[in-house]
Amino acid sequence: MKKKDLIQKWLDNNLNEEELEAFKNLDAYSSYVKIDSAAKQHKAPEYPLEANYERLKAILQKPTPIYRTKIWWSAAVIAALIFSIYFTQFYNPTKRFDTTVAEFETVDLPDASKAILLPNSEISYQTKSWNSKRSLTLRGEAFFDVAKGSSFTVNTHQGEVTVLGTQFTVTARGTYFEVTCYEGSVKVIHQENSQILTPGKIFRALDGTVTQLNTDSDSMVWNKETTIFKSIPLGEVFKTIERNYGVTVKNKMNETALFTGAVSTVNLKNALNSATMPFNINYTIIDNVVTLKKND
Amino acid sequence: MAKKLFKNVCEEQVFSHIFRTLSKDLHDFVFHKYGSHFNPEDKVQEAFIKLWKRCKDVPPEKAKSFLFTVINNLSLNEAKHLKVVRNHQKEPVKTSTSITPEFKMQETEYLERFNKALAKLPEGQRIAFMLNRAEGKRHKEIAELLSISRKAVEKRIYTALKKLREDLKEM
Repeated sequence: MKKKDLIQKWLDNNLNEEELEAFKNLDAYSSYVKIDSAAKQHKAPEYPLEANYERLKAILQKPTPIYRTKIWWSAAVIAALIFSIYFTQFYNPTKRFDTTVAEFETVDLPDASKAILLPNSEISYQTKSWNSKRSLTLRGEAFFDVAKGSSFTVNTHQGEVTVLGTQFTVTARGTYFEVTCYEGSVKVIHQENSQILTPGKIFRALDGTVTQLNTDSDSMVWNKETTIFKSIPLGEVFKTIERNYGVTVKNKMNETALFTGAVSTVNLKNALNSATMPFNINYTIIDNVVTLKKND
Repeated sequence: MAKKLFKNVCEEQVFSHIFRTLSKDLHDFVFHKYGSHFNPEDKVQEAFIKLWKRCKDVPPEKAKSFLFTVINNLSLNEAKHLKVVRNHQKEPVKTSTSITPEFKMQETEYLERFNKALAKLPEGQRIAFMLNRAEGKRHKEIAELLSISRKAVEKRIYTALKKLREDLKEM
């Protein structure tokens, strides 16, 4: 018998007497025995089978939380389901943009349309339904550049403006409501009035009085650097300056006098000059306070 | 035949039978794989708790492989962390009569060298060898336990013995 077979049989505790003798005569016999006895020193500790079984049974017989976890699982699944249905079907988040004093913001609407918010204004719209209904809510003042497409509606607390691809501004502050059309046509619904504005036309409602005006032909292009006023009470002009620059105008006068002209929205001194000089008013600027004084 | 009557191990009868036939082998397996510092008894308990929780999904004939898988997974992270240094520090139990201090010293030295050589073996060989030599298991039993062929077991044990002998020969 080969040496290897002998060793393997020994390792399997499977030697007959004759083979055992042959194994004992191997040169390496003593080293195998030594290794064997050293290995036996590492026998695993006694394993108390029954005691361990009792221990396990005690653990398993504790009221299992399985039933309760199942309820929680089903609850979680149902909640997830409801949430996902809600999310896909009804979730229509409102996007809101607002500006504080002396802040302008250009808002890119979901289609190619644009809105430029003037200071202290706010627009909001529903993101998901935008594609089917272009409609937004405005408080304050904004310039709109509307991309071609279905009707575009601006809702304000005073009235509603509907357009088909055009450029226009809407102002809705307090009792002051004004729509200026620069391009295309704009339909204005104000209380019982419904009107279609063509380029260059202004619709204005101030303290309940509705007027229609024409813009000057050279101010036909709307720009951010100036605000065009046409026969507006000076008080409104001061309010606009206060909003645009974040200043307080003290000692206001001539508030009901009508003002026509362009007022800068980027340079306070220019703006004040435009508004005060025609009325012979002087002013001083200290920090954020503008104090008016009648010129003698 | 009777066993086939049970679809899964939820029956206490089946479960206890599995525990009685397998828990000691599992324990010895964990002990020789990871050492005593690994709390082999606790690991066995954990594995059986898992088996009970999943008892509906596990047919009796799959219980063994389920338990070994669980044991291996339980041990994996911890073992990686500990870098499996088997606890070979156990004091020799054997006491021979009439031992000279010199002989005792030699024996201690030999055991130390044996432990080092053992730690050097690949895990598969070490486990098979120790189940065979230390626990006295037959090749066939080890093959069943580790779900490998008898031939593979033979080879592992034989190779382990050869390597140990070579490692211990110098001197």
